[in-house]
Amino acid sequence: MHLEAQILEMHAITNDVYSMTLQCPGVADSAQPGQFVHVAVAQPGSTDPLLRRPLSICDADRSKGTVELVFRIVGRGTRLLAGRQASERIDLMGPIGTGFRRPRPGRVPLVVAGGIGIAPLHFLCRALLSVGVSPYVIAGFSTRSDMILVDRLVRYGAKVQVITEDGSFGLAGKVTEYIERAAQEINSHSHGEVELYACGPLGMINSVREWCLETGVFGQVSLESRMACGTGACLGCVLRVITASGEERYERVCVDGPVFDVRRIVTC
Amino acid sequence: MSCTVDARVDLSVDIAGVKLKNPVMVASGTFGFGTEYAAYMDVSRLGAIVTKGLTLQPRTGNPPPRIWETPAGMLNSIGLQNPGIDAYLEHHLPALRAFKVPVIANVCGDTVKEYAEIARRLECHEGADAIEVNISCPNVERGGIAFGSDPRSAVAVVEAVKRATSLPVIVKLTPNVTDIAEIARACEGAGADALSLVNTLLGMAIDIYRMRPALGNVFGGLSGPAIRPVAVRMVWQVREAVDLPLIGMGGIASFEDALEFILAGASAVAVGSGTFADPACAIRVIDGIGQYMANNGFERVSHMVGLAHKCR
Ligand SMILES: Cc1cc2nc3c(=O)[nH]c(=O)nc-3n(C[C@H](O)[C@H](O)[C@H](O)COP(=O)(O)OP(=O)(O)OC[C@H]3O[C@@H](n4cnc5c(N)ncnc54)[C@H](O)[C@@H]3O)c2cc1C
Ligand SMILES: Cc1cc2nc3c(=O)[nH]c(=O)nc-3n(C[C@H](O)[C@H](O)[C@H](O)COP(=O)(O)O)c2cc1C
Ligand code: FES
Repeated sequence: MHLEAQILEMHAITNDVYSMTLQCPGVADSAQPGQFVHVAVAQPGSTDPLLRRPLSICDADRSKGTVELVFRIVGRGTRLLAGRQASERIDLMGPIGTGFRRPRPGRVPLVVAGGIGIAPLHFLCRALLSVGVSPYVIAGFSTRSDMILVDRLVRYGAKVQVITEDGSFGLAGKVTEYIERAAQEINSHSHGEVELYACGPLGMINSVREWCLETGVFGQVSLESRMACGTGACLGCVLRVITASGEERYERVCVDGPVFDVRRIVTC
Repeated sequence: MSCTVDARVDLSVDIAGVKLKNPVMVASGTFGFGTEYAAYMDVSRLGAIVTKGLTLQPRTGNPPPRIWETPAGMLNSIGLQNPGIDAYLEHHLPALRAFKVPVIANVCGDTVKEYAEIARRLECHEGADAIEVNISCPNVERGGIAFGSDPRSAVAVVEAVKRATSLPVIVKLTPNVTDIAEIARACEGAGADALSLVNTLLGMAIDIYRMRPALGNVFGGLSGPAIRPVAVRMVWQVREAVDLPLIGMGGIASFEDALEFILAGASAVAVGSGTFADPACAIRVIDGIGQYMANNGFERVSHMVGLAHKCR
């Protein structure tokens, strides 16, 4: 779907992270956790910057027909987007991509979020809770003032453990240092087998991958890549993956992903 | 908006015997094999679809990163990733044909022989309505210099493809040459039925935070509005050098951009990177050209082709 959506609400969550809520029932209706929208950031009629920016669906409310995006300003495109205001319209394509698969019955989802990577996982957690599955979330931020979406997840009923690199909130260190402990806690409490879901910086993804391969835990990770078309046409966003038969090949993050089975990714 | 802005306006064009209902195509490599964009626009309205570059064998393409944005443009180093001619014929062609839009197969080879063999297979499997020969590829037998930057290599490819097929042969010129008119004349002499121009301009970017080339392949092709003035200039020069129909492209993002190419001498145009910014770009261009013709009293596209040369 390609459409113009009205911005219903726009506000800063931290000093560089923004939340944008859009009126777009078409997207809200079909959005699946892990999918993204491809957003035009240039002023209408301008071709600079030329390319759209992929942003995960952080929340979708079917009854209201709304979709929420949560993004961090890291460059020109996201800065332009942060300058947009409620009641303006933005041009977007979506929902796009292959999202997260639900955990198998009886499995406990362990959700590992690094920084802004919590955006697609927020939508995942809401979807899981709505079908009676309680995720265990470990969310890492560099410092307390960067913490986002945690209060909301707690309110919906998710169990959330915050980790900050400087120890200013929750436990101190990196999320990846706490995966093993969280998995053990889940095992001792619910005796359910764990399935892992992750999104975050590359270093974190690599550690998550290693942990999954070592323990045999099934994991799904949402990956990033620079994109042009967002439709699978240009082959610009590819990453190297391993197929079931053991060969390596390039797959498109935009449509084959952005969520990949962790066993299929090659160290990034 | 409607495509029938005025009953007197006729958008159809004929490029080397291929009848297009309007002069707007989508450029090779920016539209996959047609189906990718079907959820975002009405593909059946296009004048023609040009496929991703096809090679004899499947190609894996270049290592990522493959995309880097530049001012009003982008660099790409996809490197001809494609499933190969046989997989195209078997898996992609049926869906592509279902749009009922002329299909132009873009082809590339390492050697003259390879180009000819792909052309032969396309013809015998009715794999296209015309062949666009991408001569920007490196000539493996001549030290990797692009076929299109050496008139003799270009002639060898065009002659071989012409011998291998009776389909119309469009030769796609590279802008990375000193004198594009010279190459255009050589292709005309070798029997090309039409020319398309331009391919991407060779460029590169440095990622200053990683302190290394931004693209995995180091060099990439620059496209988008940033290159438009260069492309329009080249269409102008080639129009003065040859009598063949020209397909103009390079940075088209609006109908105004497309008209620059037409007035400079292009009989048809192609939208490439503009589709990335707006999937409906080609449709806007079609409608805009129709409206412009109605407003300015042009009944046929051919009446506008190259007009700027006469009004100098
Ligand atoms: C499927 C997907 C979902 C995403 N979801 C979100 C989200 O929900 N919230 C959010 O804040 N960000 C998200 N991103 C990342 C976001 O797309 C980039 O931050 C954005 O495109 C940067 O644009 P810019 O013009 O501001 O930065 P640029 O000036 O283009 O680049 C600035 C910095 O951002 C990095 N960058 C640029 N493009 C990308 C990209 N496509 N992916 C990763 N890093 C990039 C560059 O390496 C550089 O360090 C997502 C990316 C993908 C691929
Ligand atoms: C991602 C990408 C892939 C491309 N692949 C091909 C290709 O396979 N064969 C070819 O002849 N040209 C290819 N091109 C060049 C385009 O067809 C076109 O000539 C060029 O991009 C200029 O037009 P534009 O500025 O409208 O994009 C590619 C361009 C892009 C951006
Ligand atoms: S962005 Fe073009 S194929 Fe993924």
